[in-house]
Parts: sequence; structure tokens; C-alpha cells
Amino acid sequence: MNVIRRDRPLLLLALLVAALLAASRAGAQVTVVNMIPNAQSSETRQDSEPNLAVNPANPQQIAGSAFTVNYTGATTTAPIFVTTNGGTTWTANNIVPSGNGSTGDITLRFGGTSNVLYAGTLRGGSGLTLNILRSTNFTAATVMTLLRSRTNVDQPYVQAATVPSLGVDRVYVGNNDFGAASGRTATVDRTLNGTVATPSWVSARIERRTTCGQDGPPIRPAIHLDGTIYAISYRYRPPSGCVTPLASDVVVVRDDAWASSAPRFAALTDPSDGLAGRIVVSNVKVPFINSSQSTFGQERFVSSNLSIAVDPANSSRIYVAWADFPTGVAPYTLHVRRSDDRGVTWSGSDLLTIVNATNPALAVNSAGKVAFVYQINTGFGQPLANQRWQTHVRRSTDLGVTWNDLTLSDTPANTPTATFIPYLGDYVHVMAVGQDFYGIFSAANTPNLANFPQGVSYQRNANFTTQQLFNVAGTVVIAPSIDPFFFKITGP
Amino acid sequence: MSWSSVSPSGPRRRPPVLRAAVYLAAVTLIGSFITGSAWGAPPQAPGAAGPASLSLKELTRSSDYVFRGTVVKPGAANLEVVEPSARTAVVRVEEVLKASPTIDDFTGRDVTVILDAPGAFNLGERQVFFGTVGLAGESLGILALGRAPDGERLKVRVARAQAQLFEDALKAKLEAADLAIDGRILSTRSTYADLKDRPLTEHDPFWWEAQLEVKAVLQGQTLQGKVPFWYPTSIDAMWAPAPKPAPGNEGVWLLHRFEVEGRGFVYAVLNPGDQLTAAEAQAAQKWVKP
Repeated sequence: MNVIRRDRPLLLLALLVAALLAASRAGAQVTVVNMIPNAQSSETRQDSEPNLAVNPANPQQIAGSAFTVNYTGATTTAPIFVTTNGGTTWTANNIVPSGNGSTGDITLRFGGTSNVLYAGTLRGGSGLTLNILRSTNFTAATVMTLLRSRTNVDQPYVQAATVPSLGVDRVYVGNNDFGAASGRTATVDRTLNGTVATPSWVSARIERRTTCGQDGPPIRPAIHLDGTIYAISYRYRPPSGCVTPLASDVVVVRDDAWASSAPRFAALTDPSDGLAGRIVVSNVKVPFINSSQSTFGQERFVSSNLSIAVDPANSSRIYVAWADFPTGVAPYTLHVRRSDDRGVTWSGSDLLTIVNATNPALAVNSAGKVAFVYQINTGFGQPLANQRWQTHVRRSTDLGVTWNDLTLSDTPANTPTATFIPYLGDYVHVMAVGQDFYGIFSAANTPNLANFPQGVSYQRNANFTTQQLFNVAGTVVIAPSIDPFFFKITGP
Repeated sequence: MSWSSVSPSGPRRRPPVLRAAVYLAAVTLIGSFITGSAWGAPPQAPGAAGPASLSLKELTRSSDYVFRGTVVKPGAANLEVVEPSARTAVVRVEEVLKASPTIDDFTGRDVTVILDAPGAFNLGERQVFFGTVGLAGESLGILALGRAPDGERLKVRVARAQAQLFEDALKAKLEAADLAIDGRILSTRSTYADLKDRPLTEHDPFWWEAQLEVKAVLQGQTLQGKVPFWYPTSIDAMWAPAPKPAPGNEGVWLLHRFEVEGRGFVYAVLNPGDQLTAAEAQAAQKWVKP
């Protein structure tokens, strides 16, 4: 009795804090699902670099991708993950053309109302060979149709939308084309009708300035249904040599007519030189260190971290995120900024600055709420054993002035040991359908509820009491590895 | 082969019916029938009638999952993305006769078998199913290429076919290579100085060159002495699985002519299978050139 009376103020305080926390999260329903199917319970692959596509016409249909290998050992196709129940359960479906059973980079996107799934891949076993693919039934056994193939291209990033008045899909694939002339490699491949039998494509060069010999790997398009197309890229500044950390400009281009203007992507110029492409920030230091870093949770720096999102209700409002070494050395730092006038002017300072983090991803929902996903490495300057990787979702309803914060995962950075790079990926993804946010990230899969503060469900055999993974039969312990995780956030 | 169709309009209350037209073409190409009656009653085509056109060996080659099982639920499915129909059945796996080691062991568990056309699944019927694993979800989705009445003799013949297919696949691997060399790695060196203006990409292979001492040639021109080949030292996802030879390594290496940007054609080792396993290397000795 004495103990209770002494502890009463603390108890009341704890209850108050819990109530406040509950109130702040009231209405926000968060779902996190480990995407590895039960039938693949034995898999130990490092399924990093995930991407996600939600069918806007039927959000129960979702496709996901990662560096995942055909589980049958076949080499002619690679898998994507598919769901028809909104992400509650997932199935691996081997429909991506391949030469070695996997892919290089891969991104996915559905058309707006067509139910067609598009993919941009580096074909497995073929080096820097871009494949743009299409499926009219993503859960069927039909191998995806090849729409376009080009060589000497890096990091395809696909976006797609259905033109409301015409009912046709327009498809845009950002890519770094080393075959482009004069080192102006940032490119967007686009077709004005992705659903015809043989879509015609153009490769729109979006770099207008000299470079050190090339642009950075990530070229990210964003589509608004009024025909405004944005793209963001890193211009690696001259002089030639392209040495890390690369002096870079973060450049946004715009086309007001579905990238069919003449010239394309020339609607937004920079006042410094009058050339197309607004320089959001200039001469930032972007590292390119293509090896696993023990000081950064086994991850690498390959300047792949750009994101852009346009408000679906207002094509003049865009958010961008990039990553750099602000002082030329670590920590790797993420920045978020906003424009309200179609990219002409930008917030003078960061809306968010996240230190020692990577994989920024932005999305804006139909109510104008912006979501920012990233993965932060805690324990900067500490040994690997003391570091952790956390996946966060920050959301703002006031144009980025204030943000809430949800931690989706919090896992050790040293387990498992990386078998290849990237460890978690060179990107994650978030997108909005209506007011809901959907996304995907990769993380260590030890079944420990403490690692998933919003909760998590597993399909693969997992014992959360012993914190062990098991094979299908439940008889053999399976080593931890990196898995893709789906998430959905509904409500305020 | 159709698994499902997705309604073009609006949400559906039922999962979509799976459809796979291209698989129908594939099945047609390799045949949906099993030849002959060497092992007793002729196996049934998956829902189609007509003369058999595939040998057991060819059917085994085309299948990545062969198992003996009993139909427990005709017209059912145990995967969310497969709509139950007359072409589907839940089958209990009693013995796996062929499967990749990367597929979990489903012995004693139920899988969904999908035919390319409506066919007869009879409750309690025990058969040997030949198919490909198309789906891995709550369970496995097996696209049936053929089935046969159960029997020990069939099991023996499937095992014999697999042994023959191992030899066939190994021979095909050797013949697909420009050179197949049994040898020992003498040395390795970086090639970075040889390559100018490499693009800055996370997928840079970081080529190195190995000097391979030739003990025997199994494919390609007769050689003696040593032959150089390039290999990617990168552990980027694109290149990590490629062999990473070290001085002293012995084995059989499959070399392919490969164009390296800024260098021209070299012999290269690119994929995990380009270094034969111990079993493959031993079996391949019969093809050593005099």
C-alpha cells in the first residue's frame, strides 16, 4: 500500500503520457507486413532496394519488388510480390524477364485506371540494359511484355498515369543514359500511350548544362494529372573527373504538356543562366563511395537519394528531398524543401533536415498531407555493433512546418552481415492513393516486436517469443536476413 | 494457361481469376501430353485429350516441381490470388521427386495444382504431378504440365531422367561457353589502369583479370599454357554472385567472350554457374579434349 501511495504521482504521469500518445495517434492506423510468403519461409536472401506500386483503380491490388531471386532456381524470370487483399498477404510471382533469375534495379508503377502494371528494370544478367515492361494481369503467370530495351543505362525509375480525358496511360522512366552526348546523361524515356501493342518512345534529355562527364544516377519523374511533369536530378558539376564528393546541383525540370512540349522539359529555367532546369541548391557535396561502410550501418553512398512529389490537388506545389555531406564529409544528411509556384522559387531553408540518414521518399495525398519516409542510422561515430537502422514516416498537414513521426522499424545495423550492397537499398518508396499512404522499406527480419513499434505481421514462419525464423515445416531455424516490408497508413 | 483475370473496372469482392495466356503457348510448345505407356497406364494430359507428345525425360526437363500427391480438395485452392475452379485442386504432397533446393520442403503439406483447362480432379486420387512452381504465397501454386498414375517404377524413371538431364544440362553449359578450361588460378590483378573514363555507376563491375593455367580443355579451341579472363570483383547486387577467383583456386571455368566498355572483347566469367560445382567438374571430365 505504501509503495502504491509513493508511486501514485508517477503512475498518474505515466497514464497521462500514454493517453497523450494514444490521442496523438488516434485515427492513424498503421499496418506493417513482412512480405516474404509463408512458402518461402526458408529464404535468407538480402531482399534490399524495394519499390511498390498500388493500383489506384483498385488499391487492394499492389505489387512490390526488391533484389529477390527466382525461388525455383530458374533463370529466365525474376519475381515480384503481388497481393489482391490490400497487402495482408503476399505471393511471389515470377514474371519479370531475366537472364539470371533476378534483376538489377527495378521499379514498378500501375497506370491510373488501366489496371496495367509497368516496370523499369536493369535486366538480370545483362548489365546496364534497360527493360521497360508491361503486364495487363500482374497476378497471372504471363511473363511481362518487353516494351523497350536500351543499353548503357542506369537506375530506371518508372512513373505512370492515365490521362483522364483520353483514357490512355502515359509512362515516364527516369534513367541515367551513359550513351547521351556530351556527358549530359540525365534522361526521361516516355511514351504517350503505354497500352497500345507497340508504344513509341522518346528519350528526353533533361540536362542542359555541362557536367563533370555525367549526371548522378537518380533521375526521378513526378506526374500531375493536368499534364505537368516534373523531374529531379543531380547535375555533377564540372570540371571533368567526377571525383567524390561530387560538387552537385539539385535540378528540377518541368514540362507542362506531358513531356510532349517542344523542346521537352524546358518550362522551368534558372535565373542564373536562363537554361532549362531550376537549380534548387547549388554546389552541394554528394558522396559516391561504392562500398559497404561500417560507419554507416553497412550501407553505401552512391548518390542515389533524390525524391520529388507533386500535390495531386495543386500541380504548382512540389516537395523535393536530396542527400549530401553538408561540410564535404559525413554525416550524410537529408533535406526537404517545397515550392508553391511550379518550381520557380523554393523554401529558403529546409522543412526537414535529417542527419545520418538515407533513402528519402516523398508523397502527397489528396488532402495535401505530405509524407516523408527515410532510414536513419543511429549511433553516428560509434562501432557498428552499437548502430541501429530506423525507418521513419513523418507527415505534415501544414505544408511542412510541423511534422509528426512514426517509427516503422528499429533494427540492429550489424545483423545480418551484408552479402552484397546495397545493404537496405539505394531507395525506398511511398505513394498516396486518395488519403492513404502506402510504402515499402527493407529491414532486418528478426521477429522481435520491439523492432517494430507500430506492430508487424509475418507470413513466413516466425516465433516472436524465441525471436527465431523457421522453415515451412517449423523444424529448422533460419538465419536472419533482410526482408521487404509493406506499410500502409490511413487516417490522420 | 489461365490462372485469373482482373476485372477492368472497380473493386471486386472475390480474388481475380488467374490467367496465363503465354503459359498456354509455352505448354503448347512443349506439349501437354506424355508419351507412351512404358510405365503402365498412360499419364493424363492436364485437361486435354489427344495423343501424347512428350517423353518422360522431356516432361521432367520442363518441370521444376515433380511430386507424388493425393487430391484432397478438388475445385479448391489454398492461395489468395488463385480463384478456385474446375481447373484447380488442393493436393497433399507425399513425396517430392524433383525440386530446386531453394524451394522449401512441402512434404506432408498441401499445394494448389492448376490445370491449363478444366480436367478431372478426383477426391482421393493419388498421382505423380509434373509442373512448374509459378506462385509462392500461403502455399505453392503449381502449374501442371502433366500427371501420371503413381507407381514405384515411375519414381525410378523420373530419377533416371533427372540423371540424364544433369548430363544434358552440363553439356549444354559447356557448349554455350566459348572456352571451358580445367585449371588453376595463377594470379589476379586489377584492370582499373587499363580502363579510362569509367562511368560513375553503382554497378561498376570493378573488373580484375585472372591468369588461368590450363590443365585441360573441355570446350573451345585447344590451348596450352595460360589464358586470361576478366571477372567482376564488385559486390553490387548486379555482380555479387559472380565468381571471385583467388590464386590457387582449382576447378573448371566457363569463359565467355564479353565486350568491356573501353577495352573491347575479353574472356570473362560473369555468373555463378561459370565455375562448375565439384559434381559438375567431375562429370565433365569425360569431355576433356585430347
